[in-house]
Amino acid sequence: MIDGSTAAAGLLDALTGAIDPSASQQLQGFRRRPTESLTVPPLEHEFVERCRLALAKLVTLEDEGTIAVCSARRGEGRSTVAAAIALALSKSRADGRVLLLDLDFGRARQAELLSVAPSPGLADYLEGRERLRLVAGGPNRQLWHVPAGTHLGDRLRLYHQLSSDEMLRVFRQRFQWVVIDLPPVLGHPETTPLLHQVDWHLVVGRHRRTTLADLREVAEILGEDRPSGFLLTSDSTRIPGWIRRLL
Amino acid sequence: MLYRALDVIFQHMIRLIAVVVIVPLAVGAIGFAFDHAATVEARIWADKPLFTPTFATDRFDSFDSPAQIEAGILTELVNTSGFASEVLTRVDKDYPYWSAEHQLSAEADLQRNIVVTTEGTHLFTITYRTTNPARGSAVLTAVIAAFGREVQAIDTHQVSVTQTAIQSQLESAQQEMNDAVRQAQVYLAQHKSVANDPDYQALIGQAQSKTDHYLSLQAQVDEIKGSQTAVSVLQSSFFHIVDQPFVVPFQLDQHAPAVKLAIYALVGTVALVALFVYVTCRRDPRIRSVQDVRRAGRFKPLGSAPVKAQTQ
Repeated sequence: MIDGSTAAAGLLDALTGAIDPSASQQLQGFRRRPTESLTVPPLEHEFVERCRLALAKLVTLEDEGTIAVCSARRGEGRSTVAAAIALALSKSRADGRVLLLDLDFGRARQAELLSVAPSPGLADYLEGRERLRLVAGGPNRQLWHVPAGTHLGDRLRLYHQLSSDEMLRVFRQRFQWVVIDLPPVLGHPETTPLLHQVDWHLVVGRHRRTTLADLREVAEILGEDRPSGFLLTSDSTRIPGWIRRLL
Repeated sequence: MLYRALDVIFQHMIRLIAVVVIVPLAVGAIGFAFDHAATVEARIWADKPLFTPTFATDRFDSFDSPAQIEAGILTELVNTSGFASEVLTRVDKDYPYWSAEHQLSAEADLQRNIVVTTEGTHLFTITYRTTNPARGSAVLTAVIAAFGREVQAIDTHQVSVTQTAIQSQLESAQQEMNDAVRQAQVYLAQHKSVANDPDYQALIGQAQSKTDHYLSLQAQVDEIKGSQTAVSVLQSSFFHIVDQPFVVPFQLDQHAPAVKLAIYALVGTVALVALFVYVTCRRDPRIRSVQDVRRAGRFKPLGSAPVKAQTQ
């Protein structure tokens, strides 16, 4: 495990090295790796477009920040939305880089969506086994991804280290936008401190699955200090479009 | 709420339509399978006689067609206990000896199963549903006979009562007329010159008035006598049977019990479906629209994303 006092500084160096290998060759402990690219997630254009519109409603005119994509429970489309949000940001709202950070150490999905190896990743780095691995790709190689990796220790320690050492702030120093794919809010209280270090919460709920009671619990956990929005996924309503327009 | 209700309806659309269609059809089919009743029908031709004396039933004073008038009177009569008793007595000789409960049941059955409908200006039909067609024919024959007799009895009774009342008035008017004439004659005998006598003129006027009243009553009595004779004679011209009671071949219409059952089942099923939709959209805690999120508190609705997220 990385020592807490030097963790943030170490992460900054690691990020610098991973993003700009030529500049970081002098950094101690950095080894060059073969260039690795992520594949743009195979998402439907309409899905990405809806996510882009949702994002526009949430962040309005802001042009940088950290967005936590979360949900009440698993299976509500959170990871797909996080990927779509990151992709939309890299396409339309980013002059700099967009980082998609997978913090769902238990069941990480982003690596699969972006067609990259799931390990090594952030967990491996935080537990001191591997150097930080970032994968870039997408439009103008502006979309970056840190896989969740494989954790051998307790997940709680990882979240604690991320929140107590304010590592999200370090990520923000190197990326214009940081999109975090968090584990479900209910049942994972260890992620709560991280939720209070982001700029926006984008809560994802699944049509005809997510309950209002769960959503109220999530609202209580998130608090009121950050703007929060809700995106309904898997909208399978069969109400004809013309009726919906009338309503 | 409306959006949630529509979402529930469209989510279960095929199942709801299937229920709404299948349940009434099944109920109708079961009703049809268990319905062994036949319909016996008689067709009656109603007419307006050329000469119509004033009768108690006031048949032809309205603008209704003859068929409507006769059908209306028959419907009213069928719903009376006396008429039903008379019909049942003609059909079942033992009817007077039945228990009161049995009699009431038979009357109710008769009143429930007889339907009088018009088929045009003159034609009206009487139908009777029964599991015993032979008895049904007897019932309709009895109904038609009792109808004619009952109407005639009503008219005859009314004319008779009116005649009695007018006759007593006539006798009184005759007495008054005779008295007035006698007074005028006596006054004339007692006075030599009555040419300009106002009292005499008054007596003459009074006698004339009494005479007019008497004559008008006399005219009414003559008319009533004519009506009394006409009641029995004209009765046959009011209506006559076109088709004797016959068993109607099976036909599926809105009066068939199976169809009625199916309609009731349809109404009930639609009500249940509406209840299901209401309860589901009220009690289902799951989110069905982005607007539901407003009920959860502080979240800003950002829209919705379609089902298919990833390309194949």
